[in-house]
Amino acid sequence: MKLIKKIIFVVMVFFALDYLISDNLHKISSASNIRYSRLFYQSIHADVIFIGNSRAVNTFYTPYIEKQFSFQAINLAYNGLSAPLMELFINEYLQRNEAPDTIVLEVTALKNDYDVLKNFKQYTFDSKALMLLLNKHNPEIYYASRLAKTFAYNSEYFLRTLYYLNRSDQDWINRYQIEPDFYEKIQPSDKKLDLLEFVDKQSMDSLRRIINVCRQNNIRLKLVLAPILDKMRNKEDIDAYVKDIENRSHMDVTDLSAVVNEISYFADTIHSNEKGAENLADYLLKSGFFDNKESFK
Amino acid sequence: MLDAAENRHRHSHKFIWISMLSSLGILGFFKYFNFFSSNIVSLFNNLGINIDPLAIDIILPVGISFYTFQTMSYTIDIYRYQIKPEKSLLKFSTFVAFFPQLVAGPIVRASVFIPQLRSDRFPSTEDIITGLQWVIWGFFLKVVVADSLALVVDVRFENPLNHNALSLLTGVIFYAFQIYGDFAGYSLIAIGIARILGFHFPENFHKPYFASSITEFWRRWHISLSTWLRDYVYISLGGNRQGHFNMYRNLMITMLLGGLWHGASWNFIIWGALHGFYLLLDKFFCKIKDGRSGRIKTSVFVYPVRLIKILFTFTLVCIAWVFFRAADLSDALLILNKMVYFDDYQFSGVTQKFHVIKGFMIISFLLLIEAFSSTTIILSLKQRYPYLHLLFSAFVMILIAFWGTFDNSAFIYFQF
Repeated sequence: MKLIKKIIFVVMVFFALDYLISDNLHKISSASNIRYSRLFYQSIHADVIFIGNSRAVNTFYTPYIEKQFSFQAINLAYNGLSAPLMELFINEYLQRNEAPDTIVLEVTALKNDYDVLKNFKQYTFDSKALMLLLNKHNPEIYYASRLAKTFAYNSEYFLRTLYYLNRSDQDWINRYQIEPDFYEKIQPSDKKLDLLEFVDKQSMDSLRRIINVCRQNNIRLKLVLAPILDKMRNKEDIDAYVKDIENRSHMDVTDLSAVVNEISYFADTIHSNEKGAENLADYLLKSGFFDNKESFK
Repeated sequence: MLDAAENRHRHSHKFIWISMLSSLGILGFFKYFNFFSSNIVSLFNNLGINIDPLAIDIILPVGISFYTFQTMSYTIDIYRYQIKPEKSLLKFSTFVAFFPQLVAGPIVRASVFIPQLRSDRFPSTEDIITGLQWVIWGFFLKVVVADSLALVVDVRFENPLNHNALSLLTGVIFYAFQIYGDFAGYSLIAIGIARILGFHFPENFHKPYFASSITEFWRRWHISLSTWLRDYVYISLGGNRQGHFNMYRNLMITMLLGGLWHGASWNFIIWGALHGFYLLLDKFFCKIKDGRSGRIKTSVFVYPVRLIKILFTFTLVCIAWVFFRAADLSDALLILNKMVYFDDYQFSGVTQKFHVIKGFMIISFLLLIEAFSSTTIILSLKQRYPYLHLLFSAFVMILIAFWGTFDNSAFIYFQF
């Protein structure tokens, strides 16, 4: 009896603490300036949206772009973001805000991958679409976050949420340079990038639905391939990948993979750094990337 | 009468050798055959004699190093007349294959476990509650400390060339706590489960990173292995009874074997050798210190000096961990080499910053708990409010939910 009493005491304290702590964490999450907290809890006005995975995070540096182009922009990319999640975030954005003028979508690794979903479980209390997706693809994580609500805030993403509580997350970018020794040791055989895997049917379906949503809302959609470090660039692979996406989406893909070339512009083999992102923005300005109103074939 | 005793001793001497050779033979075959074979082949090849490499494609039985040492201790203790042989096969089998500690220890001595098997076990409420608390803290050490830090450690050790000195330093410090959390966590879960079933096992880790010397570190780290090596290897070799030179030699042999016990790799041997060297220096300086007289210890300096000693010991342990964790010797040397370039310590170059910050928060929490858990204030509070430790367990469960990393990663010591 004494044993059962003690166990019940521990369980009750656990749930009471869980309720109290998660309630406060939810308040923090709502007040944060991180991109998806802004998306779900605040109103946004953006002329241009950038979306994609970590390569888009580190390629489109919106503070610099806004200065150069004099429009308002938001980067909604996130590390490992897959096509179905890009679709979800674009839809959520359009439900809550006015349609932007342009969406720039980085097309690397358009995989049908739901692993990153567990980072966004803190929003499942406020987004039905996200909740359904998590329930379908990571049911154990979904149920665990229902059982212990604090678990919904157990992610690297929530640490970022805390970090961006009182500051904008739009200056999130790599600020270091690839180690020169590492660069020297890259072999030609390393050029086969997993990131250039051919996209699967489900991701392509997501991309097609994004294209349709953009058409319906009169949004200009631009598909791009972000810069890749010269030693990792395999032209044949890149051309085949770009062509494949163009054929299946009936859209042009702007290949920016060779635009940025210096080693000092990269944080690693596939991610630009701040300097590289600024260099790319200058190139986009010079080449009139945003002047071309045509986007659909 | 004397002849019979002598005869019995001669027989037991013969049987102990048969037992040791068969135990070590099985362990050697499964664990070390390919390592020694490949090293012998490369040695001959270097001498200009070409030999075809002989490698056996075998799976290492899980936990073999642990139960081999456990059964060896049983045989040696009987040989030394420290325990009586167990006549029940069931009880002996339970001693060898007791499920909580079968895979990764702790190595429980026959003298501790078998007498408990001989008596009926009825766990008390206190046993069950204490056991559950240990299991919860063990899970904290594993899924919060070890697995969260592993996210940072793995990236750095996988490709050390692509990280700056500060990034690598975080990787090395985190590995020290990762392996502690992983192994101490498993040990505590095993000891906790045993306690729930009514068995009392001794602790396997006792706040090892608070050690102020390497000798003290080995009294706190993997206690079941270090005491095993002390009692069955170091003392068997003569211990410190045959002069200083022999003591240093025995220490080195013991630590080399301790390194080799972890696996068939030069990394583990160097790790063992480094610890042997540290212990050797520790003993040497202790001897010099003991020889000095008339030193006045002022209380003002006791704590700062102890803190410096703790940090110094931790640094030495971390240097050895680099060899333990690195993929190979060249990676280990590369990491150590990069870490001495102080101009490469830029925070902007540290990757996975959020995981690093989380890691330092976890380590700080762990150290705070360990530092204050035995203080008189906490102990008196525990006595005055008996429900305090239950509240703490509930809080630890919240931390597991909030900070834990659940990526199905196995325990590091499963491979040994």
